[in-house]
Amino acid sequence: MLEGLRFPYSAARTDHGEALLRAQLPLTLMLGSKTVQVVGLLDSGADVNVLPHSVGIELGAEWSEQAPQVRLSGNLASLEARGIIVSAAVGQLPTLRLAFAWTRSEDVPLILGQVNFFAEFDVCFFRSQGYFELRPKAPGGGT
Amino acid sequence: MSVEELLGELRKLDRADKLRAMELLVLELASEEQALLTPGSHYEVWSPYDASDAAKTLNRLLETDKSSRAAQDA
Repeated sequence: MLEGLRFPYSAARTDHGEALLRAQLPLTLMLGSKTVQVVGLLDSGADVNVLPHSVGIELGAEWSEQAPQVRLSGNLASLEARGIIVSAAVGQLPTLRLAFAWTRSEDVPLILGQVNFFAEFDVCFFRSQGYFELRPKAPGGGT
Repeated sequence: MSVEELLGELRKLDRADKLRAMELLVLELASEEQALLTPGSHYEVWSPYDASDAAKTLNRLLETDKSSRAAQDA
């Protein structure tokens, strides 16, 4: 079985100076010959992965070539989005394919959700201790 | 010791000790969290938590991607 990786929570400050901790994962996205380093917010409540528009552009994706249209919900419901699949690498773990709802908006975080980030990785959150652990799903695991 | 001096010292640590230092700071910050929700504040909730159509669409895309890559490898 592949070894898991441990990542510290990252700290952010609100406008009121309060400290907030976020489970953010550094990863590398690849499309064709383009590579982009990003940080994704682990969101087990999100049904899908979400990609900000600028990251797709950095990867060389063409908006008009991406199909089909994807309908988002919540705060994202008003945003136009399309499906896109890119290769992704976390640390030294094997590269895998991640599907994203690529939005027209810049004002959204890169979200890692159930389809298909959490289908590919098992994640344990140790929020009280300030870290989370991640390991690839076991071979033969479901989606 | 200034923050700049401290950061210089932290950079000399090996990976494991850097992680320990990071975890300690994160715990310190967590303990400072007094009020998680401030009345009158605006909190963004980006999570697409009820996007089953989007999930179906992306799953179909993944299946298509898997099939086409398998065909290329064959």
